[in-house]
This record gives sequence, structure tokens and C-alpha cells, in this order.
Amino acid sequence: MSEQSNLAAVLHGAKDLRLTKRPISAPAPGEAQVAIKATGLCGSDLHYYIHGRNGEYVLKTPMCLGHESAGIITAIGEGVTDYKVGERVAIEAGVYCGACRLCKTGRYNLCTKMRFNSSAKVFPHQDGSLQSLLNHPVTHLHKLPDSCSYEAAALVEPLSVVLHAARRAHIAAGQTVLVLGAGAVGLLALAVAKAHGATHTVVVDINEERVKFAVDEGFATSGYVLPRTPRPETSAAGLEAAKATAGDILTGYGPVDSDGFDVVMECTGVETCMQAAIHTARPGGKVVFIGMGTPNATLPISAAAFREVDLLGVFRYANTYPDALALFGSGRLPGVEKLVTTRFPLEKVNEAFEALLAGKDKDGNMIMKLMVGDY
Amino acid sequence: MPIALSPTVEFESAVPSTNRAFVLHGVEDVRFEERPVPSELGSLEVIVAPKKTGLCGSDAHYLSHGSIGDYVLTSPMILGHESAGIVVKVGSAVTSLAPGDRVAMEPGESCRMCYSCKDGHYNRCPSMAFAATPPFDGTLAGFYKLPADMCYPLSHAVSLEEGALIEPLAVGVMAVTTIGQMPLGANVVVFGAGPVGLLTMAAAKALGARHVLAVDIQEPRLEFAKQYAASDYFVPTRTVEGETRLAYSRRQADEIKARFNYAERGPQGVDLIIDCTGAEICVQTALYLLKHGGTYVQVGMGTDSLTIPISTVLNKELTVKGSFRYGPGIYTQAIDLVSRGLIDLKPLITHRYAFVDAAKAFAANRAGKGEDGRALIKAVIDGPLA
Repeated sequence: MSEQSNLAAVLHGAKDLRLTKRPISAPAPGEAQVAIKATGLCGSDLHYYIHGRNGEYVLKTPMCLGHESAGIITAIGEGVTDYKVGERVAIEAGVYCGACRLCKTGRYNLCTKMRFNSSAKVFPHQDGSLQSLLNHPVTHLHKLPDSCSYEAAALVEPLSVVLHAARRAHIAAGQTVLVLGAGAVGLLALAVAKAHGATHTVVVDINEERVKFAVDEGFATSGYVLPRTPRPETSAAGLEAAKATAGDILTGYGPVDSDGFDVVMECTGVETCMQAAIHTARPGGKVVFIGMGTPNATLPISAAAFREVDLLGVFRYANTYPDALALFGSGRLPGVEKLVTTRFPLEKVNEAFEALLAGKDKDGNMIMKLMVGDY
Repeated sequence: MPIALSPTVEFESAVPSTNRAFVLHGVEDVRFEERPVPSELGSLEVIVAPKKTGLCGSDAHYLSHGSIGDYVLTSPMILGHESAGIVVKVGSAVTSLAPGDRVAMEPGESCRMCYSCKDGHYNRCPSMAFAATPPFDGTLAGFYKLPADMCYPLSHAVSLEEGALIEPLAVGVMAVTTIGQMPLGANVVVFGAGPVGLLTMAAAKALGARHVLAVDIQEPRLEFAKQYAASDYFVPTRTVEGETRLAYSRRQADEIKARFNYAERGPQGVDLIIDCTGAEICVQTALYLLKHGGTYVQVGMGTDSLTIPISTVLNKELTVKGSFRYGPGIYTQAIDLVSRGLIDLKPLITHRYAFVDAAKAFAANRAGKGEDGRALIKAVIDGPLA
């Protein structure tokens, strides 16, 4: 990091990510300047990198990606009294308005005027944390306990997504939880379910290495590797296949005293998994759709409705950072830091995205969570 | 040809040119003062000319004691917080309101950023700037500045003086809905038939209670309550010599159960009790009276230290909650109930005063009756004219 300028990874379009030296800007009143130590990359960042868009949100002007981050305060703006230079913080990337009905009822993640770093949903775009320095309102910076590493703090963002999902689904002690998708989000979902006291947790994925990692590292009680099958030719065939898959999961790994799982956390966004999720939930259970995939899916709705299986959506998170940080500190998420498998310095950000795209680093190792930062 | 405006409409739409204020300087020391007319405002704020302000027990308490609990008057403070008025100016980013709009004013500005605000409980914000709670000025003045989202438009079916009573109504609605979580068809008991109790009864009735019982020690208040919103009422019986307070309360609860045929459990039990007195006997009686699994809500501010039958709370698995002011969605709900005619605020407005007679309004509020000798429920003071 240069002391004279701010090195920023700026996305100009699909596969056009340019490391740019920008002038350092002082923090505005109420803000702090944070030297970014670690930024985790996620599926949405990858989507922007590959396509220059994330679903319907199209990049209109150059923008820095990255929203799962932590760092150390290097300067404070006018009027800031509770934060000091040298304090270590996790950055909550979404700035809400505080005055709309949703904000006032505690659901600020749905704020109509939300401005989220690294998202092209709002214009002008707010830059993300793939840069050396970021200015951010102190009200959205969360101080780290001494024992919390920058990487753990960066993981607080995806952890927040699953914590919010767990709250929406009311995961409680003694419950059984199925997680579809053994990526970083799926594994965090398992960790959170366990922290809430879930006793029987199962993970499913098509990738054997990821399932093995999940079970070996203690994230799930058991894991099932879905056989790869050819893509169904018709919608009806797809639905049949999903139902059969659900049957296999329940037969092999379902809870013994119930017709299905209390909560199913769908972390793939794949249509057939979303369908299978409904069938694997018990009557009266819940399915949470965390994975973002096809916006228009065919779902076996009667299998949900007539068994009172509630289908819940989640969008980012609200009021999770303090609890997520506390969860890390309390030791109730053992092994979560092992999710960080791959690291790149900011100067090598393009390599980082290419590795993420390949799913493996240059040595052929599986990538679970990749971090870019001050390495 | 210009249409002659009725005096009411003329008054209500007039914007004063000066900012006269009714200011509390100390115990029993109120003065009329000229304050600067505000003109600066944030992009999401509005300036309102308060036109009608109701008086509440807290206003009277500051006048007579100079403090309420930890809130102590240390410098002059404009009184008043139950108000409605006319929008005078709007900030550059305000799109929902325009000058001339008639609004009910929610008189508290929260910080929006603390844990409580983010979690959906802005009424608990530790930095809450609440009108006429030291050190913040209130609404008995020519002008008041507040966030645009704290102003709620009133349809022409709702008068400004009714708009002023939305504030105490909001307290009742909060207790019944957000805190009390009153189910449809509930049996409800309200202790205290003062304005807050009456409005709580009205809210319970409007929101679908099966039966609302009013309890008070003053029978005339209860007679009013019965023709206003309560289904029935109960006047506590005389004490028996040597009887402990708990025993007395227990006996009252038994008497109420017998007289109104309430069960200990199930649909015929008392589901929800809201106390609008703060009095020890009421709190005790309520806990004895509730059905198993019932909910108790404390609204009335009384003594901080009192004796409660905690084993009763345990054995009956009662839920005991506090209700503080009002939170998200409450003002909107309250205004809706009034606009739809489900709650009538007019019968509660018993006395009206011009701004220059504000001191008389406070005196009447304290005496519990006006110069006319009529019992006072709510006194409403006009905003300053000039």
C-alpha cells in the first residue's frame, strides 16, 4: 500500500478489473477511514467480475467490488467521538435511511433507500472494500474484540447472512437441519445451526471434496454426495428427479423420528435443489432460500402448502454484526476460520478472481473462502 | 369571488409571524416569551405551526415538581407535546409533505443508529429528543421543527384538536397491540379511567376485544367510561380492617371474577390487563385477576417500588411487560382508527383554551375541572395567533 495514494481494484466491465491508484480522500463528518486488511470474495462479486452485472443489476459506472471486510481505522471525520485511530473494525456495508417504515421496524436490510457497497443496485454506485482505504460511516463499523482476527471479522458478513436466515427460520435447540450446498455459505449455515443447538445436521452437495471437508471438520453430523445426473429434459422430469433426490436424502440421512427436517437451508440457488428442499422439510417445517439462483423457479407448491411447510426468503441481514462477532468470540463456531483456504494480496486481485472462477487455486486446492487484502 | 372562511379554518391555516412560546422556568414558574422564528432545517425535516396542544399528566408534573424521575429541568423549557398543526416549511428532500398540510406530530426524534433504533424499538433510543422532556423544548409555541417522517397527514374528516389527541391515543394503541399483542375476541381489563385509560379501552374495543372492563376508584369517571368505550365497570370495595394490601387485592380480584363470571383459564378468562394508574393495589389485583397464561401491561407511571405477588406470576405463567410511549406504525394505526370512525376522540375534549390562557389550562388540568366546574378529561390549548 502506497502512503501517497489509495490502491483500488476497479471494475470497468466484464473481466475488466483494473488496479488503479486513486487520491486518498479524508473521511467526511461521521465517517472513519479504514485501512482494509481482508476482504472475502463472494458469488455476487464473482458474477460482477465475469458478467459486469449481477442478475438484473448492471454496472453503469466503474465500481470497486468487495463487501465482506475488516480493517483498522487510520483517520476519523469531524464529530466522531466513539471511534479512534488504531481501532480494529468489521465493516457493515449497507447504509440504511433509518426513517422508512422498514428501518423503523428493525428490518433495515429491506430499506427502500439502502446504499450497499459494491452493489450496482443503486446508482451512483458505492465503492466496495477492494481497495487499500475505505471511508465509511462509523455507525456501520463494529469494533473487534482483541481475540478476533481480521479474517474472522471479514467472515462476519457471510455469517450474518446465515444468522439472519437462522433467525427467520427460528432454528432452536434440538432441531434437525439440512443444508443444501457445501460452499462457504452452506458451511457457515451448518455452524450457525449447531450454535443454536441443532442436533442432527446433514449437508448435501454434488462436490465430494466439499462434503468430505464439511464432515471431517465437524460442520455436519453427516454428508451426502449427490450423484451428478444429466440435466432433466423437461420441467416435469426435473420435478420428479428432485422428489427422488429428496427421498434418497430422507432415507439415508433423515431424522429417525420425523418425516423430514425441521429446517432446510437451501444454499445453492439451483432449481432442482430448491424443489428437493421442499420435499425434505417435515410437515410444519421451514425452508429458507439463501442461495440466489434462477429468479423464476418451478416449485412443487402443493408439497409445501398442504404440509404447512413455510418458505422463507432472506435478503442480506439486519442487526447481526454484534451477535455474529460475539459468536466468534464465544467459541461456539469451532473451525469456522478453516473456511479461509485461499489468500491473495490486493495487487494480485485479478489472479484471485480467476482462481475463484476456476474453483481451485493454481496448486489445484479446493477454494472454500478466498480473501484479498493486506497479505 | 373570495369565499369567506369560517373562523376555525382561518385560524387553522394561519401561520404566525412571531414565535411566542409558553416556557417553564422552574416550579410553578411559567412565562410567555418571544423566541426566534426558525428557518433553518435539515433536508428531511419540516417546520410545523402547532395549532392544538393537549395537556397531559407529565406536563402538570413538570410544572409542579420541575422533574419526573431522572429528568430534571435545568434550563427554561417550552412545554407541550400532544400536538397537531400546519406544515409551514419542508426540507429539500421531503416529498411526502407540503406547506399547508394538516398533520399530527409524533414528538420524539430518535437517533436511527443505535442498537435499539436498528432493532425496531426507536422508542427506547437513549438519545431520544422528546418534546417537553428536559432539555428539549416542546410544542406550545408558534413553531416546532421535527423529522418529516414524524408528521402524519390528517384527512379533513379529522380535526386538528383530534389530531392532538393522537399522541395519548398512540400510548393506548401501543399497549394493546405491540406490547399487549391483544388477540381478537380478548377479555380485557383496564385499570384507570383517566384519559390514557379511556383511550386504551377505546383501542381495545376498536381492535376487536370481546369485553372491556374499566376499573377506577371514581365512579363518575367509570360512568363516562361505560358510555364511551367500556363494556362494564367495577368500583373496588371498601377495605376490611386488618386486611393486608395483598389480601385486599386478592379479594378485589375474586370479587371481579365472581361478578363478571371470569374463568381461571381459557376463553372465559381475562386475557389482557393494562394498568394506567401505577398504583400498587391495581398492579396486585391485576396479577390475581389474569387467567393462566395471561398478559399484564404496565403503562401507568406510579411508584417505582411496590409489592407484587411474584409466585402468582410464576404459577400462572403470566407475562408481565412495560409499555413506553409508542413505536413504529402506532401513529399510523391510531389515525386510521379515528379516520374510520372506530374511535371518537371528541368526547374527551372537555375544555378549550386560547394560547394566552395556557396557564388557566394547566390550573384546570391540575384541579381536574374547569372554571365552569365541569369535570376535565382533556384540556386543549390553541397555538399562538400572531
